[in-house]
Amino acid sequence: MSRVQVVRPAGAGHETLYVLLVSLLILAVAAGIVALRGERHDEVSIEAHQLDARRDLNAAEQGVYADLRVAFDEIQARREEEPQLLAVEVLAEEGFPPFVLDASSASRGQHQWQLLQERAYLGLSQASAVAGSFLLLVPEAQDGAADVWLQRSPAAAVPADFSQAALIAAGWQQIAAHYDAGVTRQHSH
Amino acid sequence: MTVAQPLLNRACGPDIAFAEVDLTLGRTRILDKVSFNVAAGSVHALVGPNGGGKSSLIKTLLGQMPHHGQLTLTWPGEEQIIGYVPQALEFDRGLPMTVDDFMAAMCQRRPAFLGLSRKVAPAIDAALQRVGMLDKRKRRMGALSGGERQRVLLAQGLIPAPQLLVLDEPMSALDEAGIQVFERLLHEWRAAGTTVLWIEHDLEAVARLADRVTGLSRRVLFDAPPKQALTPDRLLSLFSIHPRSESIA
Repeated sequence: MSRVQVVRPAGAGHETLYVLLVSLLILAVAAGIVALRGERHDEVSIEAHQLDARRDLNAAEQGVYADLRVAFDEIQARREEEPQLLAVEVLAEEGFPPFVLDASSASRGQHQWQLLQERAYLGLSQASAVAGSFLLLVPEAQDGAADVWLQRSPAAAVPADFSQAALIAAGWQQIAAHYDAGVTRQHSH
Repeated sequence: MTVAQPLLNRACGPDIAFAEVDLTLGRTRILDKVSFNVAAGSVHALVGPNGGGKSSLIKTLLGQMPHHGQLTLTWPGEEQIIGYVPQALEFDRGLPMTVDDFMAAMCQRRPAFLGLSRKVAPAIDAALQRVGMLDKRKRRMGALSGGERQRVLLAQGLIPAPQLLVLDEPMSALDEAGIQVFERLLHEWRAAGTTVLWIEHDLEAVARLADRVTGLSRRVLFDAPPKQALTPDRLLSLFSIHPRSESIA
């Protein structure tokens, strides 16, 4: 029943130790929370055959690419009514860039658009120094995503095969869009 | 020790053991290998010259000094209350603090300006009654005489009922009536088995009231029952400038 109490010396010694231990505990808790709750912002690396839509395209190509994506949405929407892909002439008539021939298309390389085998739009650039040639692959599914390829070589030609390996072999590069971090904070390549 | 023997059986106070307690403040050696025991339930007096380290020893016991050495209290039960009565109370004499305010500040958690807590009010009444200050409870602390103030200090040491009571020269400021009150309290504590560690200058009172007495002048010079300890030789040695330690049979 008896209890022995040792009178400890007053002084900074053990109090300093307690403060140190408490600060270490706070640090450990903070580190634990950061480790558990923190989100990683890893940069998604792109493949060798790909181009980054934000960094690797010049101004004219970015304009064409953005217009193609808008036009692609329209193409997909029209496929609900009619399974056939819209002809290039129809798109041009309705005023969808980049298919319409106007001042901006002229300044962006004056692409010559054609529909290939009911599954791809090919725009051959007339000025490959300004912008490369574009290839828009329309997926089978109506809700699929656009697949855009670019070739800067003036020798760009109609691809015989739309498979990824064949396109890469023919010198095409896929345009990849990532929304991972602010492009203004990236180092240029 | 015929008186102390039956008391030890029902002692509720702790046993205190000082073992080689050293205390150095700055470069001044205040306590030098102080070793002695305070038996549970006994009235233990501490005598010695001014500056001999008596008050420092008490502060060490209360855990307020950076001492070296082992200092242990062995409590017989769950209750571990230490009462402390300081030598004097320093405060502005003009402070508008009544005896009740002081007791409330010392004994309750509720702020004193809100009045006495109903929980501790009976205990405060009883304590003031025991020291004979009940009729002066509305007086300002500054208006009391030194002896009356000392009695109030004694009263606060009684709440809550302590198992160990540490008294720092309680009788020095007490008047004749106060000394009688104190002696009565001492008998009550002894009867209750409370351990009392008591610093005192009045050697006659020590000889009369203490169970054991320790002479302290930086070192322990003697530690024995008062009849053996308080001999002229030892007292001369204790109060001389160059105290000489001697072994106690």
